[in-house]
Amino acid sequence: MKSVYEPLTWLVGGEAGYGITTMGQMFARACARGGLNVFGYVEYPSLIRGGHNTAMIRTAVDTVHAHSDKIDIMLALNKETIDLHVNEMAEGGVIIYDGEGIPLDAAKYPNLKLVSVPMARITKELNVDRVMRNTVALGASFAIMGLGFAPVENVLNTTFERKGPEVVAHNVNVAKTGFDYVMKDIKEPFKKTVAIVPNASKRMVISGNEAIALGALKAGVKFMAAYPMTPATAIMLMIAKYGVKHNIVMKHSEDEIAAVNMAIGAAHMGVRSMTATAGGGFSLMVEALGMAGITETPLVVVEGMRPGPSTGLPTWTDQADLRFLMHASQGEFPRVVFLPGDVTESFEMTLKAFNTAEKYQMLCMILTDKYLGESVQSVEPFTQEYKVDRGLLMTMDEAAALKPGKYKRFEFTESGVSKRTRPGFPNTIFAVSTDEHKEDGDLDESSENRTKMVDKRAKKLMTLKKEYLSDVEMCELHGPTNADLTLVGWGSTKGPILEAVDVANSNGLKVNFLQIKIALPFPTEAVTKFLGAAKKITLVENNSEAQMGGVIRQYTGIEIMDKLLRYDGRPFNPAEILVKINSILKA
Amino acid sequence: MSKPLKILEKLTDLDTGSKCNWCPGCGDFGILVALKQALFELKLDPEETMIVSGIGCGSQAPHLIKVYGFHSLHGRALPVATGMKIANHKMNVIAIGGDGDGYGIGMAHLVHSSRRNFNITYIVQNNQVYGLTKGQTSPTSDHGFKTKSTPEGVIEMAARPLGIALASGATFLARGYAGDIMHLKKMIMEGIQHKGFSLIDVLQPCVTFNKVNTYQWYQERIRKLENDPKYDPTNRAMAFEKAEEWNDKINIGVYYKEDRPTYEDELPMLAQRPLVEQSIDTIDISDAMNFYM
Repeated sequence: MKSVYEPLTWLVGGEAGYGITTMGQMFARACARGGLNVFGYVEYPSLIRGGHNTAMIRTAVDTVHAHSDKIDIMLALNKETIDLHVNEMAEGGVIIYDGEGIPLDAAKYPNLKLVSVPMARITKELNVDRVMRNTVALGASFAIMGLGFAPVENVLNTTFERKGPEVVAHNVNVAKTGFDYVMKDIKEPFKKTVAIVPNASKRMVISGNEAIALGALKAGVKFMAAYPMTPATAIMLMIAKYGVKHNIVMKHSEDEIAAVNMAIGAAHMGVRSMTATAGGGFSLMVEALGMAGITETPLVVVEGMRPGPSTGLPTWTDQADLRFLMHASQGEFPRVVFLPGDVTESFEMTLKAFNTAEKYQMLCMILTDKYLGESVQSVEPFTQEYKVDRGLLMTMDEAAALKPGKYKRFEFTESGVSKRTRPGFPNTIFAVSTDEHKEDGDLDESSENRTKMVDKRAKKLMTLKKEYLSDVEMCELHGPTNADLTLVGWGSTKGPILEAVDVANSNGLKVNFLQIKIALPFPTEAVTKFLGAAKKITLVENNSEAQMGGVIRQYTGIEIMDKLLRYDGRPFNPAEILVKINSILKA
Repeated sequence: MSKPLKILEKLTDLDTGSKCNWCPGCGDFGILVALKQALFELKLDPEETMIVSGIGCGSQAPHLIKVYGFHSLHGRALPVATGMKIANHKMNVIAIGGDGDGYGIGMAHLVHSSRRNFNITYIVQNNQVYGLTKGQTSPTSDHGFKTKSTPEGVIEMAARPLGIALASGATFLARGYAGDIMHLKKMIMEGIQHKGFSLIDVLQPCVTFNKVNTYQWYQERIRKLENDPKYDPTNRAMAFEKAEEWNDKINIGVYYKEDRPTYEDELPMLAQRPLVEQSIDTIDISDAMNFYM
């Protein structure tokens, strides 16, 4: 396949506990320091030591949207890595390995270039810990790519500068030894497709989870309660890390039930509040979501999907919780389900979620997954232009001006949204119940009140759609307007689909991609319009039941017959989507 | 940014006028009166007081006292109260609920709240039976107690909530009795005044569904710890011993009291002002972003 992208794919593999993830991060950052773009994807089993881990980094001058099914350079820290991934090697690819520890018969790898770097011996000779093989290998990798040593030195500098100039010099020396070892034998760099971009603007190398946490920081989250669960744990850890600096309390609670109830309690008092979890923890939170619904408490909940049911595949990815989030908890109440597709959208939708939650006094959920949450991407620094909008939250002065006994927390209004007070304010004492209540919050089971309250809450979603989250904004058509084939997807499949579509179009095909960015309120009008104009439609989803397909049919009446579904716990790679496109348009 | 303190002139200023659904003779009435009197006598500003309940007969309490109220989920009064306390630690936060709520479905939260020691008072209306669902066994039902869900009698041992909370690190433990309002009021006042997590277990006859643990049954057994000159509520071992006593002799009074910094005291984020009073209008995340460059 000819590609408009010529990204170079590097993979490091080894046993869990070898520092594979850190190695991947260092490599990705070094590439970014060289002005290149990156996408990084990690695979690991559900254990701490001993299993097989990999980190794949793809790098290119242009944006890289996804991981790849082909490896150009493999850095094998053990033999298992070679055995497991040799079939994924691109023609003419390079395997960097330590020949003194892993004897390889070159004849068995006819189309590959084997580069042995005595990593263990070098660490011994330099009298450093064996784990610094990784640093030797980092230098060796940059030599093979022909990218020079400067980006490596640069990244080591900033990584270790806090530990003093000696530690920096020491690390640089180890990496340089690896670099020089390879350089002395190399006549030509491995590939010419990537080259350092001088004077490129500074970019962040950041994961979807980290982007959500940054979004929460920027949006002014003051309280988070959570319980660790892969793949969402990074969010709570990052909020905790910035706790003192930004005056945020992150409470690691006894379970997810406590987490969401604490978050609701804090939100009710008037701070921006959130929780984050994976499907299992979300299951425990379900009852309290309805409490946020009926008490009209603004709450942001992040769910990072991993394959279920039950414990499932804890460290892998899929998109099978869409319907769950859309319907979780008994009864009917309005909610928002954001579907970010990449790192930048993860940040932006988090900002939006906090404003939406407060403006409409509503549960706002952000649905991400392992592939998006834990993969890193190089992106421009996020915009800091953000206006906190707290909707109808009163100030102390507004409350003080009220007549005592007149305040109604759940007053029926045109928009469905009522004035919100902060407990502690004067003149606004009220008690709210998770039982159905009347305008002042007191219990009321009457038929008339019940109907009005259900309508009041539902109205908020209509208001929100009208004035804040328009169809057009929450649904995006990528690629040419007139296409022979429209792919439909949501969430983390965005990257692989975008790349496949770009490649297909550069090959003379006409394909576009409809990205659905919100599940509730569903962008019915826009989806109907786009799909109504489409010639052929294929649905792409990381689940077995085509859940978004069902949702689309429910809201638009359009049934997408052709589907590309993957539910083995692995994300789609662009190549398999391209195969699908070709099979439809070249048939 | 603080408002002038509001002090109530008369006890009835705490009345809401809401309709109460309790059976005539229910112990919840005594608890409600004692709680209102305690709030009034302590001169707590009702606008700076929050009562959070779970679900159960007694959990209607927030609607019956004119302070801020939150009638939450079955078993979840404590985590909701915890979030509230962290968000605004200037608020007086009182949680209330029944024995099914606090010692059954919500037991884990009692253990962890005791460990944490937030300045929250937790009042448990303990009638040893499920009332709102019409008479099933509760975690504090005695062995052999026959209910609709245990027609052959309860097989488990009854939970000893004061012992559990004590073992978990609670810093104030008391037991009151719904039939002795003056004493109960005192327990609640001491609990609220205590700086840290206080649990007030209240023995509360259920006149409709518990025909064993009646007012009379309690009157015959209740002893006041304060009448025992040898009892020292700062002695943890003694408290454990008393917390085990049941059946023939049931102790009311302050079981245990300990000074320990509260959770909120140890949160540097709250040192200047409550989270709710911190501005979020312009937050700069350049530093955090720099980390990723």
